[in-house]
Amino acid sequence: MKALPLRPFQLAAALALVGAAGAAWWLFAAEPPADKAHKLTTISPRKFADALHAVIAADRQAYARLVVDRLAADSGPLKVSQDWRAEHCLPTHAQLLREAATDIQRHGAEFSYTLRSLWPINPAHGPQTETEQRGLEFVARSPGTNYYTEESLGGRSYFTAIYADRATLRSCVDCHNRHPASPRRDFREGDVVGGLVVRVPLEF
Amino acid sequence: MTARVFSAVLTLAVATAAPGRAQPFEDVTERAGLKFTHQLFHDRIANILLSNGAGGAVLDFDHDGFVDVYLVNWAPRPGVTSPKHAGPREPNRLFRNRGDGTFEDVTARAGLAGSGFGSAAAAGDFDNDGFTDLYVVNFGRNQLFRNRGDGTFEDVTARAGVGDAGTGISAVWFDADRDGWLDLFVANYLTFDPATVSEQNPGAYPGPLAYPGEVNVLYRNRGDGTFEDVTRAAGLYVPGHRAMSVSAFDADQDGDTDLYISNDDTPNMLWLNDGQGRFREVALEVGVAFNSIGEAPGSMNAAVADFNGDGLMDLFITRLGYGSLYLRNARGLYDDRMFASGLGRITQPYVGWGGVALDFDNDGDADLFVANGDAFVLPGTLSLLLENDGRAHFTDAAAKGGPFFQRRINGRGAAVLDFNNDGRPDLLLTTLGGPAILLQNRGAPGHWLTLDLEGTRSNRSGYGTLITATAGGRTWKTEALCPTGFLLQGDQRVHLGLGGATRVDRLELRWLSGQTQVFTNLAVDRILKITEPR
Repeated sequence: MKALPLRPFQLAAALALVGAAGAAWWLFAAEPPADKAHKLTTISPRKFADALHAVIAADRQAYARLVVDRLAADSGPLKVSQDWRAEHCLPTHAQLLREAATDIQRHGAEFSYTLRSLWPINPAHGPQTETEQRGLEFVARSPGTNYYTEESLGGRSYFTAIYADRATLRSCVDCHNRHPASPRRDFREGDVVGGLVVRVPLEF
Repeated sequence: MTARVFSAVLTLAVATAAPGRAQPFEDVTERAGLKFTHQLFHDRIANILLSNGAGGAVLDFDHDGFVDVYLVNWAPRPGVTSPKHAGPREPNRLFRNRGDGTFEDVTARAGLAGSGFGSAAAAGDFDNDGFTDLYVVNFGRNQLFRNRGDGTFEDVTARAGVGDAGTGISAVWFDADRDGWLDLFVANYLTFDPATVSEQNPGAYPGPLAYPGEVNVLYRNRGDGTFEDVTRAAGLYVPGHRAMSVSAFDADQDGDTDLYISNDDTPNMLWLNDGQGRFREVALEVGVAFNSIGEAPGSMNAAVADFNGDGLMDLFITRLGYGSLYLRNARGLYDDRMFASGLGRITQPYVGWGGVALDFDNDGDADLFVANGDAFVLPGTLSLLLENDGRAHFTDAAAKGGPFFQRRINGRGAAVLDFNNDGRPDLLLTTLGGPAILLQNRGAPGHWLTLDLEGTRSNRSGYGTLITATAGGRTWKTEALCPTGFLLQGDQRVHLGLGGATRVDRLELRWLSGQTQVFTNLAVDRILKITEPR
């Protein structure tokens, strides 16, 4: 069979068809369009630390308000006590935080957090590094400002953030002021009693 | 850093001011003929297995009273080492101590060249024949070499049934069930996969948590040259960890040997022995699982000693990350005194690998040496000599240690030994991709007594014997350990620095068999051979 010569309108129609098919393929079958160039691809250590702190502090505050403070005012049998294991009652919010922090580390974690104080009831909860000492002093002086720094511990670099830990409830003040092992007993509501230290290792 | 520069200047000044006075720790490697270079088979630390290095063991294999040195080497390994650096593997080396301050290479005659990717070695007399045997720990099948007593060794791995094929990194001999035969604990690391990459930084190699951990193994010695795997029966089967080293000692001083395992990025473990070879893990309960900032960073090894002189055995942990000085108290709990002891500040810039306790000045307290080295790059790092004031407060003693402490090395293994039997604790180091280093101690003005124990009813190596010495109004408590460190095992003889005391008033040994032996009014500055009563 002899091929007929292609007329211009036929060529234009063929090209339009190919273009339409290509457009349809691009629309429905091709990869989705490239990601937005301004999308965040990483999270900074500071944002990571701030986010951790926000969650930890909110959980802690909720436990303090909904459990500790209520039970302190209640004369019922259920109590909150530092000796919760021996006395078969509930732990304090500081102890709850430490238990969770420990559990996270059991299977390996690429961050850590802990509670510290310049006036610790348990001496082991005083500052354990030079950075902790400086950071706790800083947030005690300037409770509205967080303390951020990099530190090296045992050759490992960390991003370290220290957030003021305030006695927000009456029960916090009472516990710290009445505890026989407390080195400071003049806390008032709103005072800084310590700091939450969050560390993000910058190398594994 | 300024302090270290100042120390260097001070050291040079002291050396200049006192001509002829030898520096306390002198590098005598070359003079001693200890020619050994660790083969990296790469031009950089390209993955986590290449970061660790290799070690060996100090042992008196020919029973001549002078300790010898066995060092293991790596081999090319696909996916781990570089194909560009494939070239021939040097043998592991056995260096015989001639007793005159020099060593001779007797590897070929001894039959100890090995062939694997060696990590470490553990020395102990597993068949109680009076000659110390060697267990070589490899990435891959481990090997047990029985000492025939004639300067040669035979590979009895298959017959003994101890050829664990994991990624071996440490092992220790100890008598778990107190039957008079040394059992063997093997610590394994992780299952490496070269395809694993770092999610956060493709240019850096992934950390330990990126790989599955391997379980450790306890082999019980049947006493007939064979062993059985009793890991599960002993309660020690715990997956999910990546061991770096194991230390065996009597943590609770109840007359049996317990285990402390240093793990990479998961909590460390303290396994208390019930005396029958069954174990219970108590690290979290007693306070030795985490460091004082609540982390479980990469732990390398535990140096076991009584750092505050209260008669209880404490632990110093080296880490990539904040180390720990765990001081045991009378309630059986530990306080981490890393910051309060001064160690936190001094060790801050350094990744500590091999950490060992030694009384370098023989003043009667346990000082520390730490072999430091970067985990990622190879420019070298300063080592640390840390002097104890007797109450577990430490100061940087680099200036007292001599010029070596201004030299940068890629330190890994560290072991204490007395290679010339002069009562001054010397040091043997291994480096990553570099030479082994022998440091002779020329200082140590205090008096001393070294105990060379031989068990009869207890295991022949005397491991597990508790020792109490009283001299000059002071009392020391220590233990005859299989002295594992990070990759490198030290001199098994028990060294006591006595300060100014010129006699030991009373020496009590409590052997693992339960027997007690007492000596009184002992002369000092000598090596005392003690055999357990039959």
